[in-house]
Amino acid sequence: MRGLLVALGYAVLCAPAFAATDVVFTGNVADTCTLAVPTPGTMTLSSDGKTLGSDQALGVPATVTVLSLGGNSVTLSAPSLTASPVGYGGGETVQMSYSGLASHAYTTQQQSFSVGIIPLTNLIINMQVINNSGFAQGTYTAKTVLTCS
Amino acid sequence: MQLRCGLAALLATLATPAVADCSVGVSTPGVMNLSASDAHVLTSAEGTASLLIVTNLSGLFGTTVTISNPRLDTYPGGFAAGSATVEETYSATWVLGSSSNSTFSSSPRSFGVPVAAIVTLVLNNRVTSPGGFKQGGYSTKTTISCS
Repeated sequence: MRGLLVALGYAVLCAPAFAATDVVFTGNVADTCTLAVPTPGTMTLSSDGKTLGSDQALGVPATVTVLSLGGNSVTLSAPSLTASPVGYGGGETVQMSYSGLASHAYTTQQQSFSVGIIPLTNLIINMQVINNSGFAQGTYTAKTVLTCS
Repeated sequence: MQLRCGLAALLATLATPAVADCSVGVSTPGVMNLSASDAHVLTSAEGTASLLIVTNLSGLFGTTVTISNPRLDTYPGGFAAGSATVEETYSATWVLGSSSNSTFSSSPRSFGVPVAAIVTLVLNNRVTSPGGFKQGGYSTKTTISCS
């Protein structure tokens, strides 16, 4: 009896207890990409009157600055003509090209490219509207929408 | 006399089962922030360290507290989790003793504590991602055990 009690006591006192707990750390990363347009583009008419483009004489390409702190994607939507003067007949093709941070030749399609951690970097965008029927007098606006996420 | 003593010790132990235990409790969950100096690093060193209390009231020869390797538990879609490294540091103190390792490591660690010790354990986690972090929520998990 005595031995049993001693053994039981020893077992209880010396038996290793076991406990485990998960420790969770949480983190939230806010928006890690910023875009800005310090220089909007300006399109001018080509000498043959069929192209309105930012890379024509006296035209100015748009400059977009991109700052990314993480693995992000920059997307440029398909370019479109968003304003034109009354009397304009339509039938144009709108194209964009870009260089700098990434590059692509003139295209009518949406574009996307990946960026990692980069300091403030320029993306130069050219836009052109082509219409073999020419353009009515007035103001035209073309755009592409940039997103970074 | 010895029998009485043994019986008394046994009864005392059996009558207080909750005391005869090794327990781990989390007092403060950890919070990681993006490092202000390095966008590749998400760390609780720039957020809130996790504070735990480990109470060891069993085992005549003390107990061993084990800190598992930290692992990335949740992350936003598209994040390159495979290239991320999760590491931790710890600092443990109790009356008349301490144990710590301030070097970030992804390996498990352990240390011994004496019986009747109440251990304050501070953990830091950090995630290093060569490609940076996508926007969204992240969590790491470390398992603390004592036996």
